Amino acid sequence: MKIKNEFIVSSISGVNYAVPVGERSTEFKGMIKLIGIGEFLWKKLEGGIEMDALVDSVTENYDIDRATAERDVKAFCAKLSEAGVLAD
Amino acid sequence: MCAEYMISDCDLPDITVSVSEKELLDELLLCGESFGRGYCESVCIYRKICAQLPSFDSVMFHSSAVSVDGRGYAFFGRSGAGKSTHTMLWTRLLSDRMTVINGDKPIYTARDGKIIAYGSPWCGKEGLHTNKSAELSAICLIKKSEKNRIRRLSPSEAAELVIDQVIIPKDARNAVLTFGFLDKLVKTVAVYELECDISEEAARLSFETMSGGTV
Repeated sequence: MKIKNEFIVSSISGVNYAVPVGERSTEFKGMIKLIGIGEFLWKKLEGGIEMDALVDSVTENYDIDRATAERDVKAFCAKLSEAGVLAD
Repeated sequence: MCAEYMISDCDLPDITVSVSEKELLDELLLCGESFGRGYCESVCIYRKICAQLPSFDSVMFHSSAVSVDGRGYAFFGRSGAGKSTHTMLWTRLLSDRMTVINGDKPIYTARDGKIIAYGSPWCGKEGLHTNKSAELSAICLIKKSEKNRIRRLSPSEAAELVIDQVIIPKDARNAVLTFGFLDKLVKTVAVYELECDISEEAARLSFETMSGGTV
């Protein structure tokens, strides 16, 4: 899984927003506010990562059980996929 | 239109723009025939100028910027929220103490830890603009409501509402610069959300809260 290209991440007052630019801005209308673990997940996805590895990195960096992590990470990725943000 | 803003002692301009006949015709098609060539040309030119502003740590907001007792205030809000009406209500309340810097499309610049609102000849149909500037003391985000209420927003609350007011450039470089500007803006200027019923009472509330003074 990987975030499509032509998204930049910029912050205002410490809050990060993922913003489409270039061709992506004609396809994706809007921007994504990255809060809490969302920022962590987005950065991992920018480089391209498999689901298991992503869940592993969450359990390594956050105090959370694997089942919950897997459920929440899958839900997050599903949302991104539905919004057309993830490349296949 | 630009006479008040002409300068003679300038070697190299910071921004140079031009509009082609094709761009003009495209704009005419977009605007409709009731808007003449002159209006369409001015829209195209300002759009091109505004596209280059982020390189100068500046952004144009569709807003109304005024100065009262030398301090700058800006009204932000969606189309129809009441920016022009609120500006007019302030004029009635404050008369000579107030100048309208630009009633529709002022330019804001971040410089030396301040945000400065500048007049420009591109203004709304009321024709309110002047070649003046003022350091921005507060921003008022206007929303129509039945009751009058004002509250100060935290920088992160303000960020979300202010992003809504600006067109984020489509190229990465200028998009990043625009966000950099917005970051400075919410950290430097007090931002208020005003729910109001477009009355004199609302204008009094917004002025007295944001200025800390009285009408």
